[in-house]
Amino acid sequence: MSTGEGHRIGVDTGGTFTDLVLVGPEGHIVETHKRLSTPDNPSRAVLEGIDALLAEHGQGLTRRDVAVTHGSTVATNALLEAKHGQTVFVTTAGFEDTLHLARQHRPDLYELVPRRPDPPVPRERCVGVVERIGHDGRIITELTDEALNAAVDRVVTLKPDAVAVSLLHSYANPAHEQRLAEALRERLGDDVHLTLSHELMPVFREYERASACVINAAVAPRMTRYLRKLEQGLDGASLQIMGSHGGTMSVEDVCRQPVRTILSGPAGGVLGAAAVGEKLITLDMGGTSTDVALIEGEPTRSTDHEAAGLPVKLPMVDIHTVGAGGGSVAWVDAGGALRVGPRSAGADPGPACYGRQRGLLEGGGINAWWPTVTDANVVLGHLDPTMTLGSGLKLDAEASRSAIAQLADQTRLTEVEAAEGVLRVVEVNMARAVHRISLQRGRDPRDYALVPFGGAGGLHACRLAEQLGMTRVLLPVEPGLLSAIGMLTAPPRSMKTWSILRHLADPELRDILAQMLHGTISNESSGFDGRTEFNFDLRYAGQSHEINITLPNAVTTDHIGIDLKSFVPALNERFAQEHERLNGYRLDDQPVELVAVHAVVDGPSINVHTRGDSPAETPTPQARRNTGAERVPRRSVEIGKTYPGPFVIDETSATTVVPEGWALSVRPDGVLEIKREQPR
Amino acid sequence: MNKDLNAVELEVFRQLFAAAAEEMGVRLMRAAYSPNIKERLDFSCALFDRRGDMIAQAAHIPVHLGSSPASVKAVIEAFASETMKPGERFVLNDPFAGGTHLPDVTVVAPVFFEQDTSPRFFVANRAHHADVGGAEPGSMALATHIDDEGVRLPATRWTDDAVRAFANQTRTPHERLGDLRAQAAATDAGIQRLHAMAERYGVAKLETAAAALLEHARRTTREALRAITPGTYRFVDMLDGDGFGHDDLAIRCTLRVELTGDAVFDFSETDPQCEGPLNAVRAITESAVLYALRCFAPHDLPDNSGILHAVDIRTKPGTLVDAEPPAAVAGGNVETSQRITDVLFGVLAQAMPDRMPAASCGTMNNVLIGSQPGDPEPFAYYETLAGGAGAGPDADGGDAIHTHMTNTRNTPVEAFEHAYPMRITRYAIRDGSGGDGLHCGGHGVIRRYTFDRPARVTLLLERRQHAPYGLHGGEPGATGGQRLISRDGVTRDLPAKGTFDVEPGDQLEVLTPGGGGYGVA
Repeated sequence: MSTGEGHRIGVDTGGTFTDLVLVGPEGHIVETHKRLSTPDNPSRAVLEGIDALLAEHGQGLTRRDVAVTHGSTVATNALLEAKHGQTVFVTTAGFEDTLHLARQHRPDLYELVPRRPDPPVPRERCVGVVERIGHDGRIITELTDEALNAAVDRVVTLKPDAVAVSLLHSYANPAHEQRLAEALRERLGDDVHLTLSHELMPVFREYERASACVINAAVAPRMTRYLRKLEQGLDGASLQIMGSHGGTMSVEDVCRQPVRTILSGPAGGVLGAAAVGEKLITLDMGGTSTDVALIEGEPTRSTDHEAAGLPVKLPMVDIHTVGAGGGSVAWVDAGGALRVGPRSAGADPGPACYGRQRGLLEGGGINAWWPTVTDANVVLGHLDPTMTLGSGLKLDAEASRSAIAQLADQTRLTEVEAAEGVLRVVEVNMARAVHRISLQRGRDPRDYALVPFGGAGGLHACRLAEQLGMTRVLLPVEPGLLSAIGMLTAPPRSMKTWSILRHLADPELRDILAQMLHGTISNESSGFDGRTEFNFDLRYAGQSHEINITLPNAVTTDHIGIDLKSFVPALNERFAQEHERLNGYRLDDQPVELVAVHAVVDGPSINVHTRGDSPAETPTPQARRNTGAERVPRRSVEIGKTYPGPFVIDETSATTVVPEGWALSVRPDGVLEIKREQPR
Repeated sequence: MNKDLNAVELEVFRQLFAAAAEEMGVRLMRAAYSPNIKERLDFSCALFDRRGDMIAQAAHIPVHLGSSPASVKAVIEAFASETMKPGERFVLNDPFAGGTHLPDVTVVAPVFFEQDTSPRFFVANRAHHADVGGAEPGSMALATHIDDEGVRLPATRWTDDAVRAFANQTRTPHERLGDLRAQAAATDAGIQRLHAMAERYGVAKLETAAAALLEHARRTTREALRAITPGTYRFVDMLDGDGFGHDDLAIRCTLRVELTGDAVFDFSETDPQCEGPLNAVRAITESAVLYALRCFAPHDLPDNSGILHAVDIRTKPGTLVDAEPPAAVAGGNVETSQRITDVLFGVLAQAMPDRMPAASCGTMNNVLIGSQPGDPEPFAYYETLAGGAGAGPDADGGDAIHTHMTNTRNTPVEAFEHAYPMRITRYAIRDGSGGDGLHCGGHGVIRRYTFDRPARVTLLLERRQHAPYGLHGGEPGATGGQRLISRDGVTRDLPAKGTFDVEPGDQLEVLTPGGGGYGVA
């Protein structure tokens, strides 16, 4: 049967759950499914999930009838678990220690024995090659055949399954990297992964570039095995992978540049949230951490990223993470202050209400309760004490109460005060995270709506909004599956970067740009039927921080005849304005330097439609008129009506608290809009 | 337990004050002009109560930690609080009146609420300026008198004229004004945040919270000090010399811990201040004590003056750790501060042998390179180089890592070569430089500079004679070295402190010390 024409599935593999969404040809969600992840073999949950989803749908669709977009944690986990391959790093002789010298700083100021995280390649697998290129691309020391062969011999004896090559100033002249690549390919064959720095990240700053390259190489073998296996299991269904940059990537592209998927799932969530409005701040709360991101039309991107404590300065959706989630453990420090995290109860033993702590406590496995944020929410009645957990077990509300009672005892507070206190502390943490992506980047959070998702975002959204002076919360449809939904709206995307490092006034710049832009548009867009957008890293000459500028609609495929004469001054002016907005001043007598140009080449994207389902049941008025945490099923609220708080909205994948002073209404697309009634 | 603030409020206000300091830091970094502030992050921001005690700080540089309260207190002393007005700011760099060394310039602003006639809080930030008009570019060269190190500004009311006059006496007034303007903007950010907090929680609550947080830190620190067996502990370590022929300068500390938990760090037997620029003002010594306590106390202690309220610090005026005018002090902040910390870690290791690590590199390895006089395209460059970390009871020391009183980033080779007429031709971990032991000290680094234009180099290096100590049978780390490989192939060792000229084709190589080992191998 080929009734699956145009059916698409979004699959997001998370630490605990694998989420799946089936969308019909018209872009409407027709079925959803959630099952436990299988970390030892993530593809098992993906394939079984797809079968279960299609079976639930009941229209006779099979795996090969659907197009799958997948958010994967394989790259990130490979790095975190140090399950990476036998990687070798090749660089200019004299600089073999680049990865281990890093930026010479220590991450923690007050460690008695300070250390930095180990890079994925030990020193003995770092190989130097005699050659040198200058900052202007001039060859200072020629790469001789002798030097080339010596380096390649050394690499071969190390029996690598992946090699990263990053030579000094390769962004200015890739000739030596290219020659090394040819020789390595010839000797190692096609099965050994090769990352070349001028291809992955042609920008200056050797440590950051090398770091991204070795991480890419280190995770490539495992990522490639995983994707090949998954492809096989899919019986020929098309497969796209969600990229950290906010678009999807082909399997081939991911095998080449797997590092571009380290924020795969979270980027899907942000993209899903972006569909509910224009100016948004997202709040994705999970078990061990909370992600926040800022959206202006589309998710903002930055290059300020880390993975396992190592820099990966590639353009990705600008997601800021704090180590506070539902499983974060509350404790009292030596000075008597109530702290939350960084320790997390994780999935095992999990919050007290999961029931496992009780057994450990009785068996002597732990010597006190680990009260968590989730337990505080149970005690305050925010979570339904009668709900069943993902494992099928019933929630142990009594255990939550005992855990919080222990905390109350230590702090001389009542149980409710202690539980409230845990939430306040977590929310102060989250507020700092939101400030980092808004106020600290010249944006006022009060101009934005807060979009909670993940299972727990809604528990804290209104309270957090209040703390930040925000007056609007938008709760998307299926907030617990938003990553899987979001990745179905992502366009196919590829990105390319050129290092320029020239003044805007440089007379040669115009030719360089013209050549580059035309080349890209004719080459890159041929594969995609979409658009190309350029953005630019600029700074005042002498500065060391760049500002990324996008000229709206200035250069796209439609503007092949770029008017560079007016384009350069426009870019200059946009930069000066942004500099003034961010930093408070502009320097019109100072030359502006163009550091790098990025091209974002997108294919067409498809929308996923949600709609407000007609209510299956009408809530009884008195159920809401009482004080306390009245519970209202989400499907029972109606479009066009307003529901004043306090009450709690329950749905399968999430819980949302609407406190007193806030009121809820339903938008035609099914999104719940929760507004502060009297803005402070 | 605290009477005024419950356990929840303690944590909430700790976070809120810390966030305000962090916000000042972000504003300063963004708005600053010089690479030293933007790329190397050589600055710190903090909030203070009405007495000048630090409530919270966003520090990148530990040496700024304990020394900034002295700046605020100097401002309060020079201008009675009642005479201050909302919107005013003060600026200073005088090491003998609230500063540390001349390149560190501090901006202080009082914080008023509504009808207040005197400030309830202060906000301040300190940034390292690349030049303050000293005898050589960078204002860190060998001098014997504070006046040769640059312009000295006592606590001064900020006016455009005063700030411009200060900047005009430096080599780079445009850059100085840009950085000072950023420092002023950062104080505005701190004031805005405090006002927003007051609107939400009330001014009285903020003051109560500040006092409670100071008390929280004091209490936690005292609790940590109880791990020490009461008694008297001694330690001494040496600076190599002051560059003017006075060698083996001793810093001595006696730690007395009473049964009651009272602790005294007594430096009064330290050698007298020296002719060269290795003199530290007392504020630096206080910074080092604060840093050492912060390292061994519980990890998440709030960063505030309460930590220092838990102990007593004794110094004798006129010594290396409590210098008096007109001593030269440029290296006190960057070199002597490291040795004071080595001595503090050493004395704490006597008291807690199974907690404290061996000595780390013990020098910031200051390298200053500028154009020779008359160069039509003048340039000035400053960097510090990491060394090895000392090994601890459970772990090897890290390689090539900045330790103790500094944490500035290196300058990427590719950025360096893009900006200056010289190249880095080798940058490597210096194998074999970490001390052997059950746990080995970390290795230092080797950095080689090749010059393409005539240049003038100033070195300010330590641990070239006296090695970083090992502990409990661990070997000391290797001392550092420095040499010039001239264009005609002749290699010669260079003095650790001094200024010299280089020509195109010359190569300078600096080898930094390793960390000490811990325990018998």
